[in-house]
Amino acid sequence: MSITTLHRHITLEQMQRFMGEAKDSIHSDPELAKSWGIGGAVVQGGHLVALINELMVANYGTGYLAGGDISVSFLKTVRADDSVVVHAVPSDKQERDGSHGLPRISCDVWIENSAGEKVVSGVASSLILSQ
Amino acid sequence: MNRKWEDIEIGEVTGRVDFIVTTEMADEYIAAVGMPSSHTAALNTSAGRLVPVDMVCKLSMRELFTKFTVGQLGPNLRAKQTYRFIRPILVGTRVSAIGRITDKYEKRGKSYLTLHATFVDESGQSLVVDERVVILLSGDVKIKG
Repeated sequence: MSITTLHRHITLEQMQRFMGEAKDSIHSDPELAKSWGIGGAVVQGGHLVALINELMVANYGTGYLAGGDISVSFLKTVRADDSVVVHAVPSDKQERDGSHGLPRISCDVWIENSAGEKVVSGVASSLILSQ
Repeated sequence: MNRKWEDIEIGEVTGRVDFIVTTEMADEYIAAVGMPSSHTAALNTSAGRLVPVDMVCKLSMRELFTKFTVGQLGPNLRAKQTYRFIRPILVGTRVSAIGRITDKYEKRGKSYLTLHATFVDESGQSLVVDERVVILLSGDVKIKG
């Protein structure tokens, strides 16, 4: 049974840590973001995709690490101190992956902010290494 | 900013990286994302310690893409992201990649760049493909959220 949701609260401190040495960024500096016409620091897109990937690895392990893919669109920005819910809902059917000779499962993936708005949406898929 | 949109060429190199993946990088990435200990455990295999699936892309994006896009064209936000994970990456692996512009287009008055990098190991085997689309934040682009 796969886990279909992951909950995470994202603080400015986490965003700054995610950015590492890149302090001069709209993802870590609220004042810089405002000067660019954005209301405040926004969570980096890669940070949000990392959460979806975390959920896919939790469900499919090495099958995702060795043959996963993901394609998402960013619909709205996420601000510091928002809580997000990550969803990965597998399709009912598995298909045979031609290049690996293994079953592959596709998932609809998306992230909602605390207002219930969809902020990221797309699809991901993983090899299934053991049934 | 020192480039005009019309001067940006498809195929243009945006940056390069070449580095060895370390335990410290993985620990810091896991902490920054807030991954639980169960995730860390899942990455410890008999072959060695694997790093989070998208880590090398994240650690490389500034050198590969952002320095170029922000420095040459100004502020931008990611509109789309695609990853293809081909081989798990072990701590100690030397990875390299070259960032390139693979497309540029305008849609509803907004300017978009498609950026691509394939990460390879020392023997040239592909590890992960990173393709992203960024939207340039000109004065009339409104940010949702």
